[in-house]
Amino acid sequence: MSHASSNSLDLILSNTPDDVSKAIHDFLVFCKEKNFSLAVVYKFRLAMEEILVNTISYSYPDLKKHFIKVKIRFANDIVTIEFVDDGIEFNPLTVPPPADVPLEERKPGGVGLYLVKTMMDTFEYQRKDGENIITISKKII
Amino acid sequence: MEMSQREINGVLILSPFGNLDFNQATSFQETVTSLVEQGSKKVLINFSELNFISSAGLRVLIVLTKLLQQKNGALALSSMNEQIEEVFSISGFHKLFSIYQSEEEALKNL
Repeated sequence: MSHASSNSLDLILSNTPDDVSKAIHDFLVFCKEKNFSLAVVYKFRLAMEEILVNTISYSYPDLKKHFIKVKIRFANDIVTIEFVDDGIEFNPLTVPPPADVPLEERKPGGVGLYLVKTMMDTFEYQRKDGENIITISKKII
Repeated sequence: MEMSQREINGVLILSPFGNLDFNQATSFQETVTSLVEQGSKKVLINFSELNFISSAGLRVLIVLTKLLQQKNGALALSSMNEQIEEVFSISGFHKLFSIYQSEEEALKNL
């Protein structure tokens, strides 16, 4: 489900890989309409995938159907995306950066969120009324 | 995942098309693992037709490297676009892999 006006896009998706793919697709259409550069689109696409895949993979130990709200705003050359889910409390800011160790000792996880935190100008987390709220933003010019 | 395959001087060259994202990572891993199990020891992944990679794609490259190490093989990567190069450099993965500007350069070193 999506609703778009010229400088905003609101998406509601369920916690399934298919819905994550659809949400990313809708976001890419929005980026195309706005003529964002390849570099900007790449960073936000990565952010959408890493945050949403993380949410559907780890936030719902009850294995039930849940909904995730994504609000995208574009104003004053800044793109802001807010992700809201009602999953278990998870503060991505507490995830340490990937350890600088040889490949044999590398463990999966942590890299995706670290990439997003580094590529965005701001990355905020709030736990409010039983929901996780992640807000990211970046100036694109 | 859509991908072209060639072999030059015993090196298996794979060129995946499009996006190595969370959707494609599993099928990419299955294809590449099965090629290595069939005997390919030197693998070069040419990124020139790849637009996008996420952490799911990076994880497959780690799995592949570990598999090749067990078989005394080697993995090289080449021809990345600017954005993919940035993902490797921010994540520190540029230190973990042999990355070359071009396929020719990679082949000389494999």
